[in-house]
Amino acid sequence: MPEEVDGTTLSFLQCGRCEELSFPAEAYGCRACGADPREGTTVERPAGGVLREYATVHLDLVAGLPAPYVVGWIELAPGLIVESLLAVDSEADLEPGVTVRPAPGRVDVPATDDGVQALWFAPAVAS
Amino acid sequence: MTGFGPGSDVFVVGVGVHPYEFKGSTPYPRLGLTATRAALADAGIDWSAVQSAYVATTALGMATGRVMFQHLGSTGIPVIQVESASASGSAAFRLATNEVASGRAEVALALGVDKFGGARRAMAQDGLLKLSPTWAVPAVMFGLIARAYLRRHDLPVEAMARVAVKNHHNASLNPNAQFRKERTLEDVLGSPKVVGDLTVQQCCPRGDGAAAAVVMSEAALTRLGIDRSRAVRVTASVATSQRGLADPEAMAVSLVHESTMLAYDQAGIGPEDLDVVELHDAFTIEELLYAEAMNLCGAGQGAEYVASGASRIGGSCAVNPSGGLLGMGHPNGPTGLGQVAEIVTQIRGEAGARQHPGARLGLAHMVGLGEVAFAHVLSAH
Repeated sequence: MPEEVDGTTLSFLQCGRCEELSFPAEAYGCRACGADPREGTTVERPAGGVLREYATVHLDLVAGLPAPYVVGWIELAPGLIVESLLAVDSEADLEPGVTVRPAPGRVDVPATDDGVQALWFAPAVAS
Repeated sequence: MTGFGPGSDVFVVGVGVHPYEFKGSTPYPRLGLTATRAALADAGIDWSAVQSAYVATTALGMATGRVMFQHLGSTGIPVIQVESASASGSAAFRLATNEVASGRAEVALALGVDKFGGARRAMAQDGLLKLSPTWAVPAVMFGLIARAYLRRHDLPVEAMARVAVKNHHNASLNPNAQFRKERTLEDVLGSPKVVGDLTVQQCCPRGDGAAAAVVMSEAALTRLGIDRSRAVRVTASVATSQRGLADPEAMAVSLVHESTMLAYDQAGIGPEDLDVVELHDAFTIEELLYAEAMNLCGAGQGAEYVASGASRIGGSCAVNPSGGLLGMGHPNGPTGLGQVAEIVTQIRGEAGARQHPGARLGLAHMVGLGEVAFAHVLSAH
């Protein structure tokens, strides 16, 4: 199991009208009510969330990311679900509902010009 | 504008398809003009009768339509290019039918034509951070949706794999289909895995192709002496986009549900009235989800609906008798118009070996990246 990384945060936009969080912080409007982001504030939250579902990618579907690897839906905040990579040896190491935190990736996925900055997650290590 | 509904005076009078095929060397004008000429011949009219044209494509680039149509003759008509991802052809059909319904034109053409490989996604240029390089891979999203659905209903992978068996069977009977081969459940399950429980044969192919429909008003039917026995009435045309916040599965389902219910209302029908449905089965799981969302079966009953044979040709409602995206193919621009061509062919009773007995009423439903939805109801007189 990869070692948990401490201190990694993600930036969110908190709406000044309805207080919902949007991700990323650079969102062009509140995902819930559409309010102008200038009415909101940027908030930093510890990266992580609840793993809602996961599956193994068996074929090479993305350049620079050889299969197999595991992807999942992570609920970063209530109702805010993103697709992300899971740094586990097998999906057998996972179950829905577990808390996941950033983890060192097994492969380095470089940032791309379509806005991807891959962040690998893994089940939180009990302290 | 007379609008849609049971008494709509908007008709499809001609359809044509260039068979869907794997990415190849056929120039796109040959694809598009083959479908267009076939639709015109099916309608029994000349190009000069067409007053307006909508051209759907996702990958060909600027000025697709006019460059192609000049080979039919330069008649000065408006030619408008349309893009709505997978649903581009459906968008072109909606614009053509709505133009005729509005009275601005009596005869309009909707054409979808595409060649695989040139499409780009605007979201890649939205300037926003994404945490996974898989963000643009539909198979990943639907692999996750499939896993969640099977887990929630405690179903084996066979439950969704049967969709591929049914639709590949239908495609084997369709001369315009990209795949013309029967697949057994063992074939489908034994093909290489893609994401989660989705195997290669549970995912649609991509490729090249074209499909066209000629749409006409009742007045034009009379003026041009069209054979009314082969004219198919368009009784609903609906377009929606995603609403609200939820998980990806719930949002996909609600998008299909809302657009379909609006179409039922507009056409004055219920799901029990439908004989044929063409829907977006790019991945097998979608047919289970969308059959439920369309109220063709109860919530959570999608797998049983397929397993029971209710959705096969000859069942209570043939779902994807063309072979669907899984079997007929999904070249993007043409796909929604290929659905229309299939339903028109079924309603006319001209579908040959894949004819659903007594087909009188059909629904063509597409979703597109974004997410957007289009629903059209077509009816015999």
